[in-house]
Amino acid sequence: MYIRRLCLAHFRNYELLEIRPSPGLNVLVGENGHGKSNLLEAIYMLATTKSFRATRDTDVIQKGNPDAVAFAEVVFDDGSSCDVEVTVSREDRKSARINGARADRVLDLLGMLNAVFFGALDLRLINGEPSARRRYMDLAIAQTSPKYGRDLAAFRRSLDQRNSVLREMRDNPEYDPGLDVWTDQMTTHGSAVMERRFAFTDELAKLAVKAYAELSGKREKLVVRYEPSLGVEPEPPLPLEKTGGVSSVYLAARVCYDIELARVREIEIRRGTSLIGPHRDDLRLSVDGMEARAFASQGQQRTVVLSLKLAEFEYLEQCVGRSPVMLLDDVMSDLDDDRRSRLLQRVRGKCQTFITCTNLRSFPQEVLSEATVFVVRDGAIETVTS
Amino acid sequence: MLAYARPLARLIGELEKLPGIGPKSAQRVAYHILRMPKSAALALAEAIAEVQEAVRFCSVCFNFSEDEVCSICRDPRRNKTTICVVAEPRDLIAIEKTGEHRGLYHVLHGVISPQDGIMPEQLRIRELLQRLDQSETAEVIVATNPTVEGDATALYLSKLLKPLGIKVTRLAHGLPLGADLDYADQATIISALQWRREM
Repeated sequence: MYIRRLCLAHFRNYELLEIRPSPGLNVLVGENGHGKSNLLEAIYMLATTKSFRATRDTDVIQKGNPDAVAFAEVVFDDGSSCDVEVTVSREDRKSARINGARADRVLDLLGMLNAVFFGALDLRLINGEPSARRRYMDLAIAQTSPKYGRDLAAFRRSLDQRNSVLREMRDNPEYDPGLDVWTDQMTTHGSAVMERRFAFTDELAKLAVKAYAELSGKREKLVVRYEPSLGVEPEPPLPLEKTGGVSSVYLAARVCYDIELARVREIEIRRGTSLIGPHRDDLRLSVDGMEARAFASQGQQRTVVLSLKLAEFEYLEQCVGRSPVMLLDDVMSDLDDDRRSRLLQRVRGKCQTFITCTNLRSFPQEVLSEATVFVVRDGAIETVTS
Repeated sequence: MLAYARPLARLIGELEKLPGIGPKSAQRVAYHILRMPKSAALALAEAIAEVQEAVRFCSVCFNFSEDEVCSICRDPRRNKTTICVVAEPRDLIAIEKTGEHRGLYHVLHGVISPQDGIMPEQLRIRELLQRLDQSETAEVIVATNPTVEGDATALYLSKLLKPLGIKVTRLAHGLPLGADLDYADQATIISALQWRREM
């Protein structure tokens, strides 16, 4: 899949913009602060409905305007196309349009356009909080499974409700306003979230090992492991006929979740908050048995992150049967020559790629000759050369 | 506001407080009322006053009613052994329009939502229990919305009522009938797939 036309209105520092990227490599060159990453942010938002950096969606709205709009014409491999549009407004937040028709929910946008983003901030995947790794999982899975997006939203809602009940019970020890009911809601949706995270990391781990071996020259082994806060061990899934059509991973997660929650019930009431569940999960990354965050070398950490991103790319490709759009934000300068050329090798001719950089020197001439170059200056694309 | 005559501004201000009515609609409605024959405008004003004066909660089912006990609860032809529990009076109207439910109703006036301070005690659940205690109810149909809060409220009721020997059922959710599959929203299709039936 590729983006044939991209339009922005009042998005970050873009007043109005329309570009027609090439289906192959697109290089966005310009000085820092001129809006290169904002373009990638808009594409990513069309794919995931989320920004990769803003804490609030309304941050993307240009100052003095009521709303920001991003629009893309997406072309699929069979030649058909689809228009996707997302509007972030100060008042009623986010809305989406698909082929011009307003979607019932913004989440309906998921799965129309797929994108993988890689930028300097992604080092958080290694040395950041577990929340960064959960976010990585969530955004990757949600792109392939709209149901996951909904399960996750329902899980968070029941978690918030349950926490309100726990706070109430902490403050009035004699009172139980239906904790069991919210526990049930939380485990129902939470187990569905865990089931998908198991399946995702299983696949991802295999792809990441391969990508890491390729990038690092096959010397070390990367291990990616899902660590649910419950401590359930993933077992090989049983055939669905044996479990009455319900996934055995779901059932196992649900049983463990119930047992663990019963065990910590008193502590949860005392603290007034939910202590275990998908909101406390983590992803463990280790290289040759050593935890990745303990690594001294920045280079190795970057290789781990890049491997995860390439694995995510292939995972999306496998799941949806078409290549996602690759968004590489200012990563060329951080990689050594060898890894840089391996990365370019991976994306060249395979998918539509957008790369931002401050100068073109980091690109080999033969790569540059087949790329479309956009010069970004102060919220405008000044010249286009190809 | 300077351009409006003062009574007109007051009317627009009052209309704007209504749900679904923004400044533009409020202005349009206000001008319309101003141009109406006086009798029609007074009929509207009287209807507003009367709805406040004459409508109260039915003491049995807590739907809005003109009398102490509403017409549905008084109707001898209704099946007294089945009670359909709804969150809001408008849900009752939606079900009643179908003519398929011949039993009685009970209006909770909301769903449980601890985050918003709505605990079970704030709903008409205690009244439902008292009612069940004094009647020969065999089945309670829970017709709350299929949302996290609607589901939780249904579950809360079933945990409360099942030990009393009452059958508790829940409305099914699935594809809208007579409509195209590709017009159904994703959540509906996902749920319909999840709850598919063998034929």
